[in-house]
Amino acid sequence: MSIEVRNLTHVYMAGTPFEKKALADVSFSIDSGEFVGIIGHTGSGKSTLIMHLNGLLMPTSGECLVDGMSLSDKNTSLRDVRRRVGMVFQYPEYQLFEETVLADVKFGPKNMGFSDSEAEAGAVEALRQVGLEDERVWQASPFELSGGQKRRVAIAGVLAMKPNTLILDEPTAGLDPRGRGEIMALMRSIHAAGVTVVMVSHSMADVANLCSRALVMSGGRLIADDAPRAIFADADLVKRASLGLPPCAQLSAALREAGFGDIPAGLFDRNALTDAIETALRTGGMTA
Amino acid sequence: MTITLGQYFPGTSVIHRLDPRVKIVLSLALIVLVFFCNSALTYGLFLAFLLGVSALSRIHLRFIIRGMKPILFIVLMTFVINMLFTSGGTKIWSWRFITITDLGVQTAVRMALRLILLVIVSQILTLTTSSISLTDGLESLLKPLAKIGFPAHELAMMMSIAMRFIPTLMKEADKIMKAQKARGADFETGGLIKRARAMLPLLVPLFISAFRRADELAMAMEARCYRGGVRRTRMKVLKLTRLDAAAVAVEAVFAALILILVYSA
Ligand SMILES: Nc1ncnc2c1ncn2[C@@H]1O[C@H](COP(=O)(O)OP(=O)(O)OP(=O)(O)O)[C@@H](O)[C@H]1O
Ligand SMILES: [Mg+2]
Repeated sequence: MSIEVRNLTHVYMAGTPFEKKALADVSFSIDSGEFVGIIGHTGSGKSTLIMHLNGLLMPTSGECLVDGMSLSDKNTSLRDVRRRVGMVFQYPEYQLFEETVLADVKFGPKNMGFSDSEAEAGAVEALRQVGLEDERVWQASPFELSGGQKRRVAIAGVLAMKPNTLILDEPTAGLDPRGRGEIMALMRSIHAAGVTVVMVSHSMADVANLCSRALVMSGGRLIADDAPRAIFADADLVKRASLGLPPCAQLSAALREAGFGDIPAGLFDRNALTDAIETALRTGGMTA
Repeated sequence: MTITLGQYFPGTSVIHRLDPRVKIVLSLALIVLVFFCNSALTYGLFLAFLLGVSALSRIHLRFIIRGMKPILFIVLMTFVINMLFTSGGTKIWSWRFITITDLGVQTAVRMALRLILLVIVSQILTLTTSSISLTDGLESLLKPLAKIGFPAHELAMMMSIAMRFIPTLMKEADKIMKAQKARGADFETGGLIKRARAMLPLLVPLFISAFRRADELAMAMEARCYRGGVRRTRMKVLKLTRLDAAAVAVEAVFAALILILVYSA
């Protein structure tokens, strides 16, 4: 068990006229090795939720546990929790500040008490992992890099602490299709290396392609927790949570509507969809 | 991180509805009046008047008190310095080189009270007036000075932009701080030097983003043909109402009362 959330409620600015209940009674758990997506409409509480998972926000009521340690417990070292649960914020490139890329990536591990050589080794490994192999880039100022490169440096800055869980808030926001593809490939390779990944995303296609499980937030509540396939097949849920559909699911829904009743709803996998269309055509599947 | 000092508190009370120009002038008058107070009675009356105004504004006292926290330290310093360094009066307590006289205590209390009253006045003004109407009011009040070359519009525009961006920057600071905390940064412990150094990972990104925002804003303003205050019309034209007249009358009576008490004593 990597992360457990029990009856989590969070109220911003409690006791003022600006009071806002951002999370209401949310419970779930995430096992190590999972790849979980968190989806939901703007303002549904996704960012608020993930900030509880490494103790950046404390619950108004309820509890979060990381590897069995309660974050509300005074004896739990938040630093240790933050090393285990790495967090990449939305637009993480805005957190870069050091003179060189390498120094910036070393910032995290050094704070975590790694020695200078350990921090350097971790930083180099992380930079290689995010695809920045060129040593000239390591010595460059982070502010000279391109947007996509900056983002990868920022992600490396979190990976360098060797977290066992990585949480990312809209990691592809504001990137061009190629940059998005690169980040998605990176997510996949990080997960393949044994890291539990939790990703907040507005891209249904990314969630459908990468995640084995998706949490659906709506108005501060967790309204669904299931495989992406099941979620996108549930038209009522998709509507209630104002979710979109991944392109393939849109196509399969449109085909069903057009009379191809044999094609299952919520098919978002390209190969599965191709197969389904093939079968439907072969069996003359105009059932409706 | 919540700072209420200078934060607008939306509402529809009579105080909220006053014309910002009237509110600014009346607040300035009150600030001057504070310096006339010279007895327990006048200070007490003043405090009662302010409590009355804040009751009318429907703003919970808690917010006014909470907003005073940042200046508490200054009040305390003023108190201590005045108590220790006022000369004259009869000695009431001494230890080594420290002497406290009755005059010292009196001055200290008076100074602290003045500061507190001043802050309450400005708090009521800023809590009940949005920054936009505040700068509108200010610009309109300063307009006569524009004839002698005083940049009234530019000043008001600068102020409103600054005020507009305070919450934005605070939100941004909060976000960057969280991001650095997630990388194990520690902003809370350690001595002065360590803490100052720890601010670097916060300040560098914050400055960069402030400059970026300034750039974007300038571009957006130019794209909409902003050229300063010349021949600029307003969407909301400020207009005085009977409510404003009533407010002026009430404060005039109060001021007269205080002045009579001060000069008849
Ligand atoms: N610091 C804050 N103070 C007050 N309210 C806040 C704060 N942060 C978020 N909120 C409110 O809490 C609610 C949930 O916000 P949150 O940022 O968690 O949503 P989100 O699902 O991440 O949205 P988005 O998809 O736009 O990032 C929103 O209504 C938001 O206005
Ligand atoms: Mg968010």
